[in-house]
Amino acid sequence: MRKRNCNTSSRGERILDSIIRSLDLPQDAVSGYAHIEISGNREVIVEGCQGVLEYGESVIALNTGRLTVRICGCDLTIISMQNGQAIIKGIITGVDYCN
Amino acid sequence: MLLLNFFRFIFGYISFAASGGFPERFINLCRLRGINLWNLKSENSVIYACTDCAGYKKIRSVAKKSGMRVRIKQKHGLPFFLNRHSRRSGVIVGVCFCVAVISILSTRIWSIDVTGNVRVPAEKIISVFEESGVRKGVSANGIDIGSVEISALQKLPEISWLNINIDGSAARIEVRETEINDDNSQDDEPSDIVAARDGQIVVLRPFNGTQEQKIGNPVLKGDLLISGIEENKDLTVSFCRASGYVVARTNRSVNVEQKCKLNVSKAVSNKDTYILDFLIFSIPLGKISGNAYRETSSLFINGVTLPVSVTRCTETLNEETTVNLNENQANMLATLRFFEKCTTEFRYLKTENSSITAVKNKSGCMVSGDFVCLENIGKEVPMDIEEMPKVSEE
Repeated sequence: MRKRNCNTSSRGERILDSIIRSLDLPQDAVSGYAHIEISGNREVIVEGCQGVLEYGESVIALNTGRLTVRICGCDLTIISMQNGQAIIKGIITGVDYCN
Repeated sequence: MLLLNFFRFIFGYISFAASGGFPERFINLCRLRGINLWNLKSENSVIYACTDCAGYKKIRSVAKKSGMRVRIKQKHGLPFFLNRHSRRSGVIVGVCFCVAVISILSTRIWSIDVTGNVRVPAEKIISVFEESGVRKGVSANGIDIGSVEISALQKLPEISWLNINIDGSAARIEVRETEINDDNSQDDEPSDIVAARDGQIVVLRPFNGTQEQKIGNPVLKGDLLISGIEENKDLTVSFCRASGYVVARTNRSVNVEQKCKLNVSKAVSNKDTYILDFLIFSIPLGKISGNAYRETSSLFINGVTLPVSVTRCTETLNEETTVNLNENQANMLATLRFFEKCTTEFRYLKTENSSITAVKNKSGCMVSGDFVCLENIGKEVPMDIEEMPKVSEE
């Protein structure tokens, strides 16, 4: 049986990744990954947000296309969500990525 | 963020609560339909968020699709405030009037302050500046400071330098006065020192010129003390300005008579009238006569003079009456006046000896004093010199 990285990437994605790596291009600019900025444990800025998958007091899950970003914490507030950018403030305890 | 909040306040926004249904679907539908949501927060399965007025109109259908129930929590911003107070037209008119008054008054001169003057009264300086166009109520931007300074300097010869600073609504005038040269006579003008009073010389110190008297000599008023004519070694004469210090023992007498019948002006009543001043406008709150004493009180806030002031005009009504004094009162008043006169007359003298007598009679009292004083009696008198026409040798 063939071994795959994380068992999720397709062949096309792997080729694209290798091209990006060899050309030193930023990942978020080409491959459709979200650009995420985390300031301490108080603020997360997610660029490339395509929708909200889960919304609760302690969890906010955002659809970023290839990945789902799960932000866990308490007192979470979406300060703004415009033009594919979501700013989330609160006490952040974790950021998870799932396919 | 501050600017964003300002614009949100200007255009108005609504904070609402949405409960039940699918919050994720609600948020995604809002995003897709261009409804701007901010400060999105979830508490006990209830979403609290804010949106603009246009967004809230569209939010009903979104809420219906996502099965949520939307309730307005609060309306914020200027449109709602104005709508709430639209019936109170007086408040709106008052606010508009207040804004207009502040915007107009902030560009005007409210007060004129003068600093640095000692001899020249501030009122005179202010009146000159008022003639040049710097007065209360004029626009601060319309003042041509350079030309005003030049014209004021020409009209005030006692001032050597002046500067006007417009500090907000206050015009601050700084001045420097010209220094007075007490010595008006020219150094090369020949003069003598003569006696200003009769007396006996005690100290004689000529600094320049020829000494004409000796210590102990009695002199009469007008006698030459130090001459401005100097004899040279070659027996020719030259003229100079005599100077020196001549102290003589002199006699002085002071007499004060006080009659028992005294005519006095007695203040019967004071009448206060007020004037309300606002920039150039004065509103008298009563009838005011021209000779009333005026005292102006300006309103200050944090050291800034406001354009509002109150002037109190006090008019005193006097009545001429005759007061009959007894002997003791007449004596006391005469003595008081005697000492007042002595204080002014002997300010620059030293008294060696004095004898004071008080004589009482039916008509009043007379206090007289004889004093022996030491004083400088030297007085500079210019010489009258006429230039003789040159006689030809032929």
